[in-house]
Amino acid sequence: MEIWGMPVRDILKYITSGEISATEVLECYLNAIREADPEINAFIDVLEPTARMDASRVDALLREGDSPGPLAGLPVAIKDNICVKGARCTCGSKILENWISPYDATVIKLLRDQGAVIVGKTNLDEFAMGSSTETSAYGITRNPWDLRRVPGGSSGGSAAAVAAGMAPLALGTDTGGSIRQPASFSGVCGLKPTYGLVSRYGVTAYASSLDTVGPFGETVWDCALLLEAIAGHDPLDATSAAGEPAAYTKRLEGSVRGLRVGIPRELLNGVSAQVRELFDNTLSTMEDMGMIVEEMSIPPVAHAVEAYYVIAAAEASSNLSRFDGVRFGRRAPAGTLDEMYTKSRGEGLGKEVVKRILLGTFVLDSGNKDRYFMRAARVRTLIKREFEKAFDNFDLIVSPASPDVAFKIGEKIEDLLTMYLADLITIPVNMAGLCALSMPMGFVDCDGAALPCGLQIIGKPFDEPAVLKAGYLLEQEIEAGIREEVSSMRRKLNPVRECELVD
Amino acid sequence: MEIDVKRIAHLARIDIDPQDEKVVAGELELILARINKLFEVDVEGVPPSFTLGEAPVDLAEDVPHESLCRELVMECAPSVHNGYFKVPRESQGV
Repeated sequence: MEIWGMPVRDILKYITSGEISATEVLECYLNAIREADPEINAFIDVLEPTARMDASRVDALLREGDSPGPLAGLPVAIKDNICVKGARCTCGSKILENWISPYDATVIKLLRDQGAVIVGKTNLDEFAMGSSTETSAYGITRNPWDLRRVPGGSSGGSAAAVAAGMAPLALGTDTGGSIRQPASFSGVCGLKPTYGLVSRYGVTAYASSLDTVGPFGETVWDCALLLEAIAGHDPLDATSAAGEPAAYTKRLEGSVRGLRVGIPRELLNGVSAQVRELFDNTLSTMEDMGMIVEEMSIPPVAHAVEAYYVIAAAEASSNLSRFDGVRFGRRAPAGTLDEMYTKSRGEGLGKEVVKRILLGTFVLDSGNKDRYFMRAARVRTLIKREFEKAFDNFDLIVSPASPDVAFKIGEKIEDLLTMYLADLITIPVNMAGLCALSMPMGFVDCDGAALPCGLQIIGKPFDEPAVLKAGYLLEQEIEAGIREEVSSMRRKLNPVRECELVD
Repeated sequence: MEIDVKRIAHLARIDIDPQDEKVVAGELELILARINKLFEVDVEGVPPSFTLGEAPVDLAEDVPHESLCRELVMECAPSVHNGYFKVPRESQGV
């Protein structure tokens, strides 16, 4: 039986029936990491010893006839800004190079309680600030579809790990598109949950009014499964929403006939011709499935990027003040307390992070707060209101998940504004606290490589069931071609397979 | 608007190489020029949004509860003395 490349649903079925063990599944993925990661650099740390213990625990429970939980033995890769007890949590930064987390984030506790195997910590833009995974202090992550290109960011390591078959599932964080854009660039599914649905306790804060934690998977079903495991109220996170989350995997089937789908013109500005063509084809498929697709407008969205960079930078400047060399992380030798703060931060934080902290400090400085921060917060109200109005007339809103396919390494790192503006498609969802799925919709030929491109399906707050259902049913229509391309890409990355067959 | 990087960096307690100040100022001014587009939006009478939840924040009961292991937390610190975080003096000669 070939484990590698097997759908997550089947892996789960065979583990729980005892036909394969969690340990065999883990070893198969560890082999894939050994083969492919030297080229891709998706992982900062692979947690081999503890992952083996997790897998043995699952196998022992199954042998005794107990249930290990709904994620029985599934390896999950974790973005390295989420705390895993006993493992480093670097956030892609030198300042936390040797910091080992003394506790599990709530999402990690939930995964462990449900039988998941924590396989490793994945690379990210430093403190999740970036769209390419190029600003990590632990090297650039490469896109498995074309190693000359970025995997997107900031959760580029998690997206690349799933794309290359180094982990069947992964967790990422999304503050302005950091799950959806890398999912699009890397040809996998990623979901940004509604603000408050998933606990952020134990997740390094970037911009607290925007940060969310969400799943990556190969398919929409995989994302629904992982979301089911991590969603729910957490008393340790004051912004955690009350109420029971839905059984997402059980609400995927049915019909989407008659569903009203809006296409905001503002989110199509700057979309490349090739991506637009794919998007239009996808809209035709959605119409064939009975959805009613209509162009519409959400004018304040045009200013979402500007408002986002003020709010996110302001919150980051406050949140990252904790990295001062006192309680954790790197401390520079210094004679006075003030010198210790400034040197520890100057030496430990990277260029992009420093820039955003300075921008945040500037917009919060006396005299600037009303001019910039308060104005951005008012624009945010307008964005929220307009989305509320839009959802009176539409069940879902869709757009491409990124204006173009993955760009080349180094191509945009010096052109900050272009990089920032490329996030226009994803940022409004965070500004309004909505949920959104990014799923592959096809491929674009670029320099001899087939590069994936994602569709974004946006839903009302807490309407993940509708978003996932539409994505799942659409996936059935377009999946076949996508699976073939994925298999062919992975075979190129992993020429030697040592752990394919299990009797 | 010209940004005084030296002053902002001092407020943020980040040591910046004086040679880099001009480059950083240029990059921030470029971003700020874009941010200034916010002034094109009419926000008269619009209240600001600082958070997304409609409901008030669910504050925890003010009762003792189990927390992180103190020893483990202190082990993460760069310098500890008698169970407390140790830092240099506020200023030399005091």
